[in-house]
Amino acid sequence: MDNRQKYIRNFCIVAHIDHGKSTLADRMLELTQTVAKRDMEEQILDSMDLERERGITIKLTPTRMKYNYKGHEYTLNLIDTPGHVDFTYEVSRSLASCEGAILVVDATQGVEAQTLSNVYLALENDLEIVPVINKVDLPSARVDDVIKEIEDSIGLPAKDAPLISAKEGINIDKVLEAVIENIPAPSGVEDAPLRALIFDSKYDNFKGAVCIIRVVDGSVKVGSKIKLIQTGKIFDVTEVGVFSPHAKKTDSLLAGDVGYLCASIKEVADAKVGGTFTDFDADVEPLAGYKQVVPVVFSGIFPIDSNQYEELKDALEKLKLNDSSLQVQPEVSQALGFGFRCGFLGLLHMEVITERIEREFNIEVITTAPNVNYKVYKTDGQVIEISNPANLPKAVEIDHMEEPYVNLHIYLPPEYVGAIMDLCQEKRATFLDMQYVDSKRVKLTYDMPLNEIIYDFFDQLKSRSKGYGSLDYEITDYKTSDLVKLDILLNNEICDALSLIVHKDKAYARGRSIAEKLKEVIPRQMFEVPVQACIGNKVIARETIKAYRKDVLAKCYGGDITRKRKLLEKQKEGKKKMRKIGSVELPSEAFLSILKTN
Amino acid sequence: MRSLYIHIPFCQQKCYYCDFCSFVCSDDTQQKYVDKLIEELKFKGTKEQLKSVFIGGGTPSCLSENLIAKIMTAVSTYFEINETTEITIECNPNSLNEQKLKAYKCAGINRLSLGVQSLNEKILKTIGRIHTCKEFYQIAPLIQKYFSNFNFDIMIGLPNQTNFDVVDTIKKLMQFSPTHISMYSLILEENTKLFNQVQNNEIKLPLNDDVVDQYIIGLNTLKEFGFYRYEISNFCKKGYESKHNLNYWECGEYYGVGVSAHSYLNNERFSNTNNLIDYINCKNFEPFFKEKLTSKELIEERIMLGLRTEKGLNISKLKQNLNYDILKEKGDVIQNLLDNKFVKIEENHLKICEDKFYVSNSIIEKLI
Repeated sequence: MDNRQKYIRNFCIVAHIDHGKSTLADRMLELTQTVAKRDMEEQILDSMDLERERGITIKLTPTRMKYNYKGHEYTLNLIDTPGHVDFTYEVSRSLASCEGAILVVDATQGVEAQTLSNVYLALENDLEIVPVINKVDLPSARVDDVIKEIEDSIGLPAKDAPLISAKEGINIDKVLEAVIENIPAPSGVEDAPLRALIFDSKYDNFKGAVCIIRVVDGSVKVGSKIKLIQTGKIFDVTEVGVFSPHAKKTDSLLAGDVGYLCASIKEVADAKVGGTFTDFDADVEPLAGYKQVVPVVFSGIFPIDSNQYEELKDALEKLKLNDSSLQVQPEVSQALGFGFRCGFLGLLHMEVITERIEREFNIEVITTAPNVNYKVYKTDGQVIEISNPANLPKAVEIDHMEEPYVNLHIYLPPEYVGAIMDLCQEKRATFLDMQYVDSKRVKLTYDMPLNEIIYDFFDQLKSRSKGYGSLDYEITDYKTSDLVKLDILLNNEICDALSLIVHKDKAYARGRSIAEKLKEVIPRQMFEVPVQACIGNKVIARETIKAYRKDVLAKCYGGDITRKRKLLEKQKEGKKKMRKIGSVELPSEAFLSILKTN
Repeated sequence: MRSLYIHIPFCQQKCYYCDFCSFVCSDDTQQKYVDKLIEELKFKGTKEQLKSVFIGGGTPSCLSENLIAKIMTAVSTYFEINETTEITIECNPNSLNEQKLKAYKCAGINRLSLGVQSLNEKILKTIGRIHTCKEFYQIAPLIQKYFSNFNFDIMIGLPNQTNFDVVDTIKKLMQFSPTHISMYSLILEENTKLFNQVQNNEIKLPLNDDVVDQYIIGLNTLKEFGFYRYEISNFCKKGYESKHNLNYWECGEYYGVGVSAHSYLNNERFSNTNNLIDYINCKNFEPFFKEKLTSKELIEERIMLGLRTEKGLNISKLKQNLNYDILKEKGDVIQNLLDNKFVKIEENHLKICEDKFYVSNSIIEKLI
């Protein structure tokens, strides 16, 4: 190892949501004077509006900091990572570019489900873990218990863990020192051919794809000819730089560095996250990427204004560029027209993508009810996988179906165990285990169909545990299940975008509540509209939306005419946003409302 | 021929549901206002013969009869009126008396419109009408004595109003043989006292469905008394259609004078200021709002207004005047509406079916 790399540390921070990860990052930026205090805004690395508003980190952000320790100047590359279960994929990407991780544990909350799964990910990646106990200034902090929890549940020595308050800026220097002392320096070969891992990328209208890379071996500078090993395509590097925390051009990036490069890469697919760049004439093995994550929740996304289809397509492609966990396929719905069926890592991921489309690209969209991937065993021996209820074969052609199950862990205070056990029971879950993590926290383990989680499970968990419950799950396997397709008919026509696949035992209740909900959200039309929920030809629930009876009985004289005309024009404009199922006009809320029928 | 609208923005008290341009003012202001009105009549006057004149408000009957006479003199000086010109004045039962009725008649006014709204004392109070039922019964026979052509305004959808109230009010009005009834549903406008009361749950309005019932019951009662509907909210004995109103619905041209009054001439609609002081002090009657209608807007208005009337939209006239063949442009929509019996086509007119008048907005919106 050369001398230069000895003074570099590449690390990330893993933590459960709300344990103070982004705040700690802020403090480190301040202490190292990477950002002047006056320019500091809260959660500076969370650059998306959405991240700041929700107080979560969605995308990973690398930042270079300088810190003097024992007479040497160290370069510390911090890669901020998301905490939510849906973004495990992003976490695994950042881990692949680090040698170590700071594990932040909230002294009042202790080790949470998500903490554990991220720690295991980090350990799998051979990362050195530096535990840090945060919020020690709070009266409810229970430092000794938490140290014991870390040692017991993770098996990590924690008695020397820095005790900090990120909010108050206490002992932040201890964290940096622990990073330098405990996390190994990178050990790449500087004069070997280039090997740089793309661990994120975003699209810039002027520069093309901006690839965020970790240089493992060799070096890259402006003018270098590089090759993406996975595709063999060759590019000329136009710009390299680092983030501190804003992009800053540099001359080159060397082994051990984290930074970005631009190379006039126009095709989104050519900057695919997980790819390895090398010198154009080199013949080296690609770097191991990281665990490719499979989407588990699927839903249709359609533009409200059908003229925006092309724009939506473009938006999804750009989002895919730095979120390769997002899966996108074109889809046509009778009710909603042209759109896309998208695969997500979870419900939050789905919400975040939808909101990003609306905010960053200004496209209003309709999202259909989320579904999981089902395996359909047909009577002719064929096995197909479907994630769109509209594609389900006829009942007579189906021998049986399987749905994905998860191993679900729920963490909560003991007083809510009863309520949550009831909830799990309602959701077709099988109880597996119950453990006291400590006197204040219980871990419940269930075997449960994923289908039930993506419906309203999370909301229910939160409300029945007064917000204290949290969950974590991993897909285990597929199991045979008695599933049926529930169709919704409006004025006797099937609305394909409202169809669902549900367990037979749940179909009646679900059908009834959807019919009731639709009656509420669909405005009365000029004629009576029957709303029916059906399984095959069998009607299991029916509501009637009465005909609209009055819209104008008022006067209309000279002074009113302009106003009246404008009102009508506006009304007509509003109707354009409605979707027509046969002759029934549906507002876009109708499609969302069936997600929340309880 | 064109019409003339004269706005009198004065009331003794503002009704709780009213968002019209009206004010409670001193005699001095009223005097100044009328002087300005006369100046505007002179400014806009063309000596042309008018189809109709409508003195509306506000409450024109709260002006002294001398001022009304002055206005009428100015109208006949700067425009031409004769016995075929329909000249209407809007009145309120409690500001009217025999003296005024006589004066109106002398001034050439030949039609009177009285704001009754309801003959349920409690309802009148709730909506802030200043008059009482007793005052109506005192003035109605006198109106009959001086005028042969008069209208009563009534309202439906009022707080606590029942179907019975609607029928009862109509029957009581019929004793005085009106020639015309306007039946409006209450529209809750923002910035009115009633709006706030409803927002604060102090007052409950009838549900839309109930208002439709009131409308249908009112309509049937009026029919029994020999009235026919010629526009959504307007009913009359045959031959007593208001020329002034019809002019609006047939997209005819009109002058408007007075504060907030609208004019429509040469495909251009414009209005005066809404501010009384600004109006009284204005120099050259510069329009406050002005829009030149595009051909699309002209077509839309023609459709919107035509379909409000019983006679319907004259299809060939629309094609002739505005080069718009609605049967071709909106063929599918019309066929669908015909199939579902929302509209019908009779003698070259597209009209809304009788029992679908109360959803005319939705129908019109499909056709524009």
